Amino acid sequence: MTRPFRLVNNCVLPEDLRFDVEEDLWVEQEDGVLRVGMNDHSQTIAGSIMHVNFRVEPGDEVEAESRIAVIEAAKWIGVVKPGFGGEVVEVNAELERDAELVNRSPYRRGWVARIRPSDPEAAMERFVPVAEAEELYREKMERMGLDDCVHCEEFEI
Amino acid sequence: MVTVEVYTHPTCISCGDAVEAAEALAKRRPDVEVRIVSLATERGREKAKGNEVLVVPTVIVGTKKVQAAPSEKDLEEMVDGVTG
Repeated sequence: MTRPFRLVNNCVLPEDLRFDVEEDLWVEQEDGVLRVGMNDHSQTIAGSIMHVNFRVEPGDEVEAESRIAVIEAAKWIGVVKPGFGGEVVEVNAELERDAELVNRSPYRRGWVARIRPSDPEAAMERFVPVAEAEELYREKMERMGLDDCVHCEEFEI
Repeated sequence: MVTVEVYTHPTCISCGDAVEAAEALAKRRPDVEVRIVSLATERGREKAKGNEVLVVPTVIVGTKKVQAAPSEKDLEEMVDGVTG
């Protein structure tokens, strides 16, 4: 069953997640741990992802600007920075075998890392609920002239 | 005439397979026409939105929608489902 979502220029924003519009990330709260991933905007900008190289492992302490993963696509390289500090609980090892999972399933199986924030309240300040994200993305996409999101076969929400 | 609409995008690898299957069928069946709708164009995106197409390739024949690159055989079955 498809989860409820909003659409901004064909970019999917599931209603049960929160978003960092500046870094194009999503977050889901799970008992004091935040699951973080790249959103539809970042997977579209990246294009077909070829490699995900983790720069951290479980137990590592990270800061807001720490590079937790380097994402390589054919013509794009980017880094995932959580935007908050904490302890890495888990990284999604499946992405090392199947990097395109980020493109096909950015909000489910393509998550990047789970982090226990050192300041949960401060961590969540970066991530806005979907209604606010929807407005911010409309504005950002128009201002920056961003193309609509693209979803290839097997894309799942 | 039955229209096979193929929604594509240049970055999508399997879109080529979907177009190829549709064009092969149209070559064999004079009652079939192919319409390519590219989501790289504004018009294509508007049409995709109107038909609730989120994923590429998507193939629409009549009221049937498939979010994949169907084989020529599967496409023909979709067409025959429309023509009866």
